[in-house]
Amino acid sequence: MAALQTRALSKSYGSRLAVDRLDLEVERAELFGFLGPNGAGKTTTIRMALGLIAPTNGSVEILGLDVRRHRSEVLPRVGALVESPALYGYLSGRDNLRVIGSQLGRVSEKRIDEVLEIVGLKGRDRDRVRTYSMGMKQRLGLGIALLNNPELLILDEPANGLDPAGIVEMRDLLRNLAAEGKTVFISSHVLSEVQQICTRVAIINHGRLVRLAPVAELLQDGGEFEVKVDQPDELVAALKRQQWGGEARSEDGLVITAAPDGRGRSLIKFLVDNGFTPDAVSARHRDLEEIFLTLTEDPVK
Amino acid sequence: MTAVALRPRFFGAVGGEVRKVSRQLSFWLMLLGALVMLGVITLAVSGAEGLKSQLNSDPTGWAYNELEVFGTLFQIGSGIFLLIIGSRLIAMEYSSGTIRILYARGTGRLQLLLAKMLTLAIIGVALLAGFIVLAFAILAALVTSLHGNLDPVQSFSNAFWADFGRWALVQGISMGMAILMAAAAAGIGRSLAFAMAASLAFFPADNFTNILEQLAVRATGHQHPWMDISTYQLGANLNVLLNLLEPTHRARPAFASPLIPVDLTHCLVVVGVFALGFAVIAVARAVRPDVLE
Repeated sequence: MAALQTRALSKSYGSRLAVDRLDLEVERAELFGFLGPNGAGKTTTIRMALGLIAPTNGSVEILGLDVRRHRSEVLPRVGALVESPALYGYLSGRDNLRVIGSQLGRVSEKRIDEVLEIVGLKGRDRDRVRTYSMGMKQRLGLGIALLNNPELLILDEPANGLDPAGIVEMRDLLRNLAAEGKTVFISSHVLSEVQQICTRVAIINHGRLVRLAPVAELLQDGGEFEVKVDQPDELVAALKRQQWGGEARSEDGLVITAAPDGRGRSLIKFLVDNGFTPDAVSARHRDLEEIFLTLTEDPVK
Repeated sequence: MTAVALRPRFFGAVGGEVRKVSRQLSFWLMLLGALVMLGVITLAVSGAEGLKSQLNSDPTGWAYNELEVFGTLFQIGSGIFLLIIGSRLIAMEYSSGTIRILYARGTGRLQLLLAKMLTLAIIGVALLAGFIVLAFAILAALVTSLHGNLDPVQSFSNAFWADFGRWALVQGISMGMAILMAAAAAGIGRSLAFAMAASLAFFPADNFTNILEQLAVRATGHQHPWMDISTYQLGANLNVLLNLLEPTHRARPAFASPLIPVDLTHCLVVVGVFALGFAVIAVARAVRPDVLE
């Protein structure tokens, strides 16, 4: 049973299609990244998953239950941080947790203490939230999401406003939660963060799923190699004459090329046979940002 | 703690709402302001001429006069208080976006609205009870200072005590209308500024309409339809309700009343229709499927 599953999920506002037949499946205990440029439909998807807006078509299941039909059963098992953290500014951090805890049922003071400890707000919990920095508000928002010890965490831009140390803490926290068996679904623009912590990512653009793959697979996608040689220009010219080497190019003194039958050893053999003894040959890893930009590039531009 | 054990609870939500209200500075400042106002009115009343002689000659009449003064103060104050607190409690969830946290946790839209309205009703009842206790303490102090003991209180007629009960009932109805109106205004605007402005402007506008109707009668020389309209105004009907409930029709409306005499049934139907209308608007807006805040 998937932690989160969308089936042909669509949402339109008038003639504008915000989300278009989106199929996602997030496994349990997975750290799942959800990426897309502004206006791609990420937040709309999250809002539909949380029952905040009704899909035009399709469905969302969380922990095996349809969200619209079983919202009061399933949503208390989910913790969410949607967009910027919405908090009661006139209440203290602790009272914010108490108020949400009351709504949820019975959340003990012990659990509230635990959550404050987890998000690092223990010393400031009695201060009014309106005096908090953006990063502290973000931590409290995360605390609210964790309050009910959820099985699924849905976090929209969780690193917003956090300083570098806070980002590292957040990363460790999310990894620990996944290690405890919780599913973490992160929508983020901080691609390096997603690359570091997520096991799989979905990339959407214009409301449509562009790619869903393990991060490792995505990063190696393209099957290119980096070759360090003394004569890069001559090598590029030689590669371009090959059927498989049409995309060969020189970047920062390195030759970037595909390999015959996609294998590194075949490329090395080609280099040696053609008199280009390489200093180094390595599989080329693109970062997620590069992949993201390629996949979400607007073809109109 | 297991996550599965948690489920949104109605009375849990009420507890959360009570906590929210009790932590609002404006709530306590308004209560403090009301106490100061009550003190000022008490000082003014205690210095009034002929107070002692009236108490000695007609204790019940004296009690009716005091009820009118303090009752009017409560009617205005409790209405404004509940409209402000109600608007803040409901509309601020939309303005600050916190509504999405609550809904995203599985709290039912109707459940949350009802929890908020029950919280406001509890505050209203506590307010009325507190006011009655305080008002009687003040009256007892006045009677003692004027007469030397509380004997005149025993002379208050049974009719006075029955009318006092009717006054409390009318205050309850008025407070209920204020709560419903605040909920409707919050639902329509889904913003604190709109809810506050619309609900606070309603009764002054309602009373002002009464003046416009009288001007229209003079200007056109026709009583209809101007005077008929006044019989369907909420404020005018609430203002005259106590008078209609009393067998002796002793209570005088402090503000605008219908320009044509209406009976109790008409008055209750008008108030009931407004109550139903406000409730329908509040519910219809609360259960709207898309929460974009």
